[in-house]
Amino acid sequence: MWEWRMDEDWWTDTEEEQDAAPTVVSSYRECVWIEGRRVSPYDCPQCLDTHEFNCNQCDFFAERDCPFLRNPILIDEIRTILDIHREWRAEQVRRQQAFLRAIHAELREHGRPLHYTVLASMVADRYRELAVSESSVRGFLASHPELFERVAEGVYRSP
Amino acid sequence: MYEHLNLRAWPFQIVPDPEFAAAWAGRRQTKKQLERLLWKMQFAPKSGLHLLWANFGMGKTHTLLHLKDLCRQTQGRVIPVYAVMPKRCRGFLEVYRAIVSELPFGFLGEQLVRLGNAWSGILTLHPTFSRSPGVVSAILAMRSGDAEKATTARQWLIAQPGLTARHLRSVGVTYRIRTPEDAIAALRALTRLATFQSGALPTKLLVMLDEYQRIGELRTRMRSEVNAGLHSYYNEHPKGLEVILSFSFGREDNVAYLLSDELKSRSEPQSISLDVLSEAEAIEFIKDLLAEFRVQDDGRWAYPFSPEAIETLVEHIAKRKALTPRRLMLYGNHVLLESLMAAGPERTKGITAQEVIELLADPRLGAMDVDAPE
Repeated sequence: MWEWRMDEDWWTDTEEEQDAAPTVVSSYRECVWIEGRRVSPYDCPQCLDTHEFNCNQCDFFAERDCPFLRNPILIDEIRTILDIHREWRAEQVRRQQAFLRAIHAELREHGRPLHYTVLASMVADRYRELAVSESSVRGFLASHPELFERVAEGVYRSP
Repeated sequence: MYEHLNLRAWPFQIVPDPEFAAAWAGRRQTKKQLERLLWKMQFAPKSGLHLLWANFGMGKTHTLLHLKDLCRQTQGRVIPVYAVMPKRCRGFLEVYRAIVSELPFGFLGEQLVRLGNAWSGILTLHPTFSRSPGVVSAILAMRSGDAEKATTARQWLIAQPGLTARHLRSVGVTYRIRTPEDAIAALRALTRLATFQSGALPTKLLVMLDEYQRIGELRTRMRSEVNAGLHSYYNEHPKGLEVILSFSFGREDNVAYLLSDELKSRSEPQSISLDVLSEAEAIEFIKDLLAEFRVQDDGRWAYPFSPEAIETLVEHIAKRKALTPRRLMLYGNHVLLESLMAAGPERTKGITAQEVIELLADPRLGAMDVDAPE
């Protein structure tokens, strides 16, 4: 988990300015806080989503104190941050799907119940790019009862 | 009973049957492999660890039972023990129980007499029993003719819990088999006793442990204990012991994930694999199966089917499912029975391809039959 902060005048280098209260706070929690308002890739001012927007209809900021109107550079920066969030999220989903497919394929092909530790070593060997751990395999097995049937403590099969 | 079909017995069997195992129902190549394996076992004194992998319904248990039957024809040179890996076992002790409960105790008693005749001292002091002297008392108690003592001795040998001190005293033992170490020591004594060479020819003990894939359901610690127990047992016997571990699942290379490195490094380089049949192999399978049960060779290899009917049957299955011996037997059995019932026992002509098509026309037929473990 990383977290970085961006001040209103983030491009300045003076310590005094960097110690000021943050205007923008971003994190892997998929949202950015701009002047106390939560902005996420899925819930953000229209101007961050598209180039055609109407400030009068904005639910986030009034025109007179809009940080993006005040600082036009900020809009590009936040768009980049939100794009990174979106890509990161899409990558997470892709990875989880690949993970799930790998576990399901291994268990299905095996055709017998397996302890999650054995399954994890199979998946880890055959899908090195997924960098799986025993606990992550167990987590996936336990959280997808529609795909994996638990037959005993730590033992699952693909019905 | 089936002379009118030119068959001495019913050729289709779905579940493994020791009686049926005398006849071979499988690939010709596998039969040759088994015969070569048995020859090697008798020829070389060294111990061997063999792996057998089979896809679902490919006749793994039948193969082991057939090998057991072949061993019986070696005039005691290979003593077969067929055991099944317990479901979700809780350690090596349960594997020990599964093996020991299948040991031929009558033969072991005779071996003990032979060993006693060749040894001038007290039997319990023989090097064979140095780590498990109770084995001698237990086998002697089993030979005593006293049913109660024999039962207690058997319970003690197979490490069944619940024996009291009075029970132990009655068979002359002073300890219980409680730990994997005790089990390995007892197994060592029993194996050495079984392979004690009294005549000119050496004897080997063949332990076949079926369903060993069940080890894949155990926790890491249990899995390690069972593999380590087997490894120790195997290591104790540089000569006279053959172990076959059989696995049944969909992917052969998964065997490597279930065995310890020690067992993998000790296993014979050539394993036995039973994968699904091709259409040509399936036809050959039925041909060989029927030949095993022929009363006399009248030149009609497919009878009571026609050759075209066999081809149609195999083609029908191959289009829908994997060709396995079990499936061929299921469908062959269905067609033969239905056809016999419709035409009566007097029929002399082979079942035609058209009949097979009609009998297998129902799309719901075999709907429950999927490639899955039994």
